Amino acid sequence: MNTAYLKRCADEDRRAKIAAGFTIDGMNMRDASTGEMLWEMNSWPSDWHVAEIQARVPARILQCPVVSRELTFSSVEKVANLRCEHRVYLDGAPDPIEVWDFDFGFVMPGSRNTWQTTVEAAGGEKMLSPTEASGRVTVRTKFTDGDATIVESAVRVFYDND
Amino acid sequence: MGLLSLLRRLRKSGGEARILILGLDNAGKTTILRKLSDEDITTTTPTQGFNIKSILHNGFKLNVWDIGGQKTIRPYWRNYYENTEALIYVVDAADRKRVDEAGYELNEILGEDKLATVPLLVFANKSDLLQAQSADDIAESLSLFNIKDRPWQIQACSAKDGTGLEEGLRWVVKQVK
Repeated sequence: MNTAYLKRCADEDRRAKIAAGFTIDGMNMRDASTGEMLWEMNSWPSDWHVAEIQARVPARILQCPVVSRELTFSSVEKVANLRCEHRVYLDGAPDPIEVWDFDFGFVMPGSRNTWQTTVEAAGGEKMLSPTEASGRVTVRTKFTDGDATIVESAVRVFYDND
Repeated sequence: MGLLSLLRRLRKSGGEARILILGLDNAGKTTILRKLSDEDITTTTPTQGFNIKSILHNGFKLNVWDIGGQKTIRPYWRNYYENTEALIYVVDAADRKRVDEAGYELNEILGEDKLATVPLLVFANKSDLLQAQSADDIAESLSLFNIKDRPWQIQACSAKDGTGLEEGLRWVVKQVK
């Protein structure tokens, strides 16, 4: 057996271990100008790796000039180079309406971490109406270590009138 | 109030800046960060890793990193020094027994190559408490007056009621090039 092969096996082993101990614990959305929590989900279904999660968010979030979105994730293993690709899609369109890539770098073993992004709304006629947007917006999050995917999640957003 | 309004005033566009918040456990790092976004601070629990706030305004991204301060976590701090443009060190000004420990850790940090010349803001937090020491006394205990290799500032604050946070942050953002 050559050393390159052995190294590849060790890499895959390590990746599998990281993936097994990596969880998304929760997500929330806030009106960033008041800090008010508009939606939160603190227990994720056990099959979230495969299933799309549905979020029912109050429609008034679309009126907020600034919204923040926060992800909480845990890792049992140390991760050397964590990266996250965060995309928001309006279905029907191949290009995301929002792109946010982030390099976390090092993640401590046995850690619980949060990442919050704050984005200003498009404003004016670019604003979506709740009925127009409901069920058509998905938030996709992919965590990677180097080039290797650890986990992917998709949340489909529905806007409910209060 | 808060980080976003500060960014708006900056009139920066494009680019990215990284601010690092360190300090002993229970100093109030996470509470400061939450208070700056007007978020509920009553549910804050000890940070077992990091909390990051990324704020985008006018194409300019501000990333604020708050790293847990427990003793077992401190050895990992060094993993987060790279590319830091400003350091905020939070001290519990009411915990007289741990000021020396806070000073020791700060001294270690300031000796790190990767943080050389990085501007330093010290928040003397919990100034609303009766037993809190003044910012001057904290500066003395932490030997801040001996710092010659970087700009520094100390600001008394209360993460609980928000006093002093805005002033401190304004200084920090001004240091970010």
